[in-house]
Amino acid sequence: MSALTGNLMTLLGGNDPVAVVFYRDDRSKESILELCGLLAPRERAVIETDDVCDAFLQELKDTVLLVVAHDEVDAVRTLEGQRDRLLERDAPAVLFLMQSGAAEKVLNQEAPALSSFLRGLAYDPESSASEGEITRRRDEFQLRHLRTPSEWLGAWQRGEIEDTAGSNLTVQEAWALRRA
Amino acid sequence: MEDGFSKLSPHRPLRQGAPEYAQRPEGSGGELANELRAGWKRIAIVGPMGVGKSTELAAAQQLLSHDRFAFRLGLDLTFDMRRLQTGEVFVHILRRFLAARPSPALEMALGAAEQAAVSEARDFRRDLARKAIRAAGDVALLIDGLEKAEDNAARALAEELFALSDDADVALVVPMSFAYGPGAAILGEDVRLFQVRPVAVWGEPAEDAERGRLFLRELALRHLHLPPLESDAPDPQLLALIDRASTLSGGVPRVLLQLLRDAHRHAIVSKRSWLDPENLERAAYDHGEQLRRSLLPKDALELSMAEGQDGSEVPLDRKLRFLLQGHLLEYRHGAQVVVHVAPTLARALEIRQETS
Repeated sequence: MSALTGNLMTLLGGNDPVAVVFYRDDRSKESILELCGLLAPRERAVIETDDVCDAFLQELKDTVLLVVAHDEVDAVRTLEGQRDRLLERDAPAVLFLMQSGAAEKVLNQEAPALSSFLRGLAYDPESSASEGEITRRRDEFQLRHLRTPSEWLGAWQRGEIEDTAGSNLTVQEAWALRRA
Repeated sequence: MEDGFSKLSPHRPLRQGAPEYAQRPEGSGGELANELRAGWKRIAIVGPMGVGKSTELAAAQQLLSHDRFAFRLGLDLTFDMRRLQTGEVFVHILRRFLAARPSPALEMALGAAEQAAVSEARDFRRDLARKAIRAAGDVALLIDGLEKAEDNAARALAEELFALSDDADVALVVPMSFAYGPGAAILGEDVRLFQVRPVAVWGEPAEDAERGRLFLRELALRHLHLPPLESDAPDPQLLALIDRASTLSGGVPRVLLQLLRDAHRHAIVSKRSWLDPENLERAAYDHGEQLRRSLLPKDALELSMAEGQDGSEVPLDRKLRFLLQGHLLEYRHGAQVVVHVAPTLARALEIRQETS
């Protein structure tokens, strides 16, 4: 599934009612939460919540909801049980789940209705993509930026690349491709 | 056209009479309506996620409303489907029915039904439902969402609703497990199983695949708010893209729309033309990876062995999970049932298919 930062941007700006973000640890969760705040369209409010039921509130249907639940398994089950109540949403409720955690297992094995909704709406900056795909993405990155992801990151760290919204997006992409 | 892509909503079932509706080659709302008219009083509708069950139920409602009171209700808009209480849901259905066909006397009685002792409540509310239905004349009850409930809860509610079939035609969307193995026992001889399957998009017979492709073309064009096939000559590049997406979708309408939506998003991100097939390939890759990620140990082996067979060799619990999650797609060609691995997953697992 997609690891591109640009895809997170299109998820946050789209009209799908729900999306999922996989994070590796609390540090990466915080980093993605921050990124969501930066990438969400300016005309949309962004709210972080620990209550998944906020996704059903009519007054929050146009708000990008970042759902960071204490009990991720229960959050998945709640959305699975009442999936169609999400249909009213115009902005996504973004469910944060730990990569390969218990909630991801429940999503894959016990929540067919929700996971059917979520196809194409998942963001995993550290997914285990196939080597072929990673090579293809690296080549494409190099074509676009005229540097390998590692070279680009090095240049960024040395302050050789201007600090713009666009280059901030590229940092995440270069980072994911370098580590992969 | 760009706008059409950005507004694709694969998750949203079509409302009754929606202009986006396209006629399926089989398993359509028209067929469902005909089966009810032909005298099947109890129909259990099954199908995988995203295949169009809710959409076809809405289409059936529209057709049936010409000659009867066709009452349709989606339970999952109101209830947490993991915690269904049969009596509570039955009373809710009755309440909504009475809101559509008001009867003050019955509404008063309904309040008493909720307070009756548990042992008496079931018969009491059933009699009330009968009275309400009889007062409304010819009635079809079309109930959606039961497939998302636990099997036992779904079975208990299905039994209560099917018990109304002396007075009304009853069609329920039920869990997949009701169609296979021991779970099918609830479907006695007088319950008709109505399957909404993915449409054929490749293989033999070629006419089936052609009909499937034409249906998906029309569905995509309608969802993109473009003129339907017969009224104009759409861009050949666009048709080629839709045809490729149809093949990759395995004939599941929601997957087709998801792939087109995601291809468009890849186009935005990579600043390429939205008709560039590479965008679609990347969307298909993402889709396949997401499916692959949901597999359990030994699933890949089972899937590769089931490819192109009738699916009977896969253990039942695993098969139900595969069908429900969209890992495995089941098609009927005449009397023969064939299963194929979802094309995007087959690519992720490097399982050879005719399409690849």
